[in-house]
Amino acid sequence: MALLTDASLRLLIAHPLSLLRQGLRLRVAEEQDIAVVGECGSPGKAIELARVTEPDVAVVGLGDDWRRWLDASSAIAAGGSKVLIVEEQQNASIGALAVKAGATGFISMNSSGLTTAVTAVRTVAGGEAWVPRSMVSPLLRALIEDGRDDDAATSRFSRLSSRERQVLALLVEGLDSPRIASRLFVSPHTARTHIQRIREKLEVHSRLEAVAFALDHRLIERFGQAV
Amino acid sequence: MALMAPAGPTREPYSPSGPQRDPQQFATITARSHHPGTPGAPSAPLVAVLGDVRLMCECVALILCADSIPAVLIDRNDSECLALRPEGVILILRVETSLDAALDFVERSWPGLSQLLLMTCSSPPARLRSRSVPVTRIEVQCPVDNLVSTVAAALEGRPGDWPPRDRQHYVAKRPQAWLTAREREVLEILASGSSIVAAATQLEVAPNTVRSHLASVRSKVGVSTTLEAVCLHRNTRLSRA
Repeated sequence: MALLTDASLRLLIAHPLSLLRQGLRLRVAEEQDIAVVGECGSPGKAIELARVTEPDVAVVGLGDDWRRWLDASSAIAAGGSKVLIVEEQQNASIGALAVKAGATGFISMNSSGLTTAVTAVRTVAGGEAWVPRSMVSPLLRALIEDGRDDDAATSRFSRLSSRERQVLALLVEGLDSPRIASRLFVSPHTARTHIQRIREKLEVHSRLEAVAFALDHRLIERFGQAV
Repeated sequence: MALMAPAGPTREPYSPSGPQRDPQQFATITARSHHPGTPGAPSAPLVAVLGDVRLMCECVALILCADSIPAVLIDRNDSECLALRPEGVILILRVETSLDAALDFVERSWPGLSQLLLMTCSSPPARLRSRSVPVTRIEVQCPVDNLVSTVAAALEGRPGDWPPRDRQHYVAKRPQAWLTAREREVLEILASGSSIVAAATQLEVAPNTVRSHLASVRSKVGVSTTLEAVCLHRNTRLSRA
C-alpha cells in the first residue's frame, strides 16, 4: 500500500458489510496512488471519520437504515469529499435522494466488480460522475419526478404570505407558538392563526407535517426566510 | 496477486441457462501461496466463488486468497471455469434469486463437491430443500475472521461457526454415525419441509412412530426441540454416517 504521505488520493471506506470493506481495502492496496485513510461500518462514525481524515473520496454503502447513511453522505459531501455510493437494490428514488445528498458516483453491488470500483473512485476524485449505465435512465426519471413534486410544493409555498413564511421558518427551527409569538412580537393567538393558515395553504394536517413538508422540499433552504 | 476483472455489463438474474459470454470475460484470482507460478486460473483451487452479487463475490475471493485459501472467481457461463474441480463452492446470491435453481446448478456442475457455502445478501434465511452436498450458511454481515474460519472449517469437514459455536461443539464431540438409519431418514424428510404426518405417510408408519424417532434424535443430539434438531441437521448433516 502506498504510504499515507505520498498518496495522491485519500479514500474513506464506510460500509455496513465488513467483508466488502476488507475486499475493497485489499484491492485498493494494489494501487500505488490510492490510500485508505479510514474505514467504518456506521453512518455516525463515517461523519466523524470524514471530518478527521478529510478524504478525497468516500465510498458509502446504503444499509437497511439508508436514510442515516444518506444523512452521513450529505455531511461528508458538505465537508468537500466526493461521495461514491454502493447501491444494492437498484432503487432509483433512493438514488435520486443520494444525488440530492451530494453523491457524485454509484457502483452497483450486483454488477460492478472491484476493478470498476477502483475506476469509479478515480473518476469521482477527478470531479466527474460515475453511474452504471443500467442506472442512468431510471435515475434521471426519478430526479425529474422529484422535480415535479418540488414544483407542486413550490406552488403551494407561494400561497404563503411573507409573515407566514417567517412563521414556517421558525417552526422548522423547532419553536412552539409562544416562542414564535415572542420572536415576532405578536400575541400567541396571532401566531397560532398564522400556523393554522400555513396548514391550510400547504394542505397538511399538523405542524409536524408542515415542517416535514418544508424539509422534504427544502423550502426554507431554497427560498430563504422571506421578510 | 493478479486480478483481472472485466468492466462487464450488468449481470443477469441467476439462471443456469444464462446468455453465453466471451470465455475471456471472467475474473480470475490466483492464489499467492498455494499456487505459485500458476498462470491464469489455478488448476486445483480449494474454493470456487460464484453468484450474482459480483462485488461481494470478488471481495470474498480476495479475502480468502489473502488468507492463504486458494479461491477462484467463477463465471457460471464459462465452460473452462466450470471444468475446475474445487473442493468447496461459495455461492453468493441476491434475495430475489431462486435458491433451489442456483443450488441445483451447483450440484449438477460439481457432482462430487464436498462443501457448499451459501451466502444470501440482505435476506432472511430461506428454507432449503435437502441436498446431496452439505450446505453451510455464511451471513453476509459476518466479520472477516468469521468468514475465513467458517470456510476453513467447512473444507476440513468440521462444522463452521454457523449455527452458534456451543451447539456445534456439543455435536462435534459425538460420533456422527450413532443415529439409526431410520432416524436419519426421518430427519432428512423433515429437513425438506415435510410435516410429521407427511413423513409418516411417506415412510408408511404411524405418525407416533415418527414422533418417537424424533424423540430419540433429540435426546441423542442433545437438543430440546425437533426444530433445533432439523436445523442442526440441515447445517451439519448429522445424519451423514
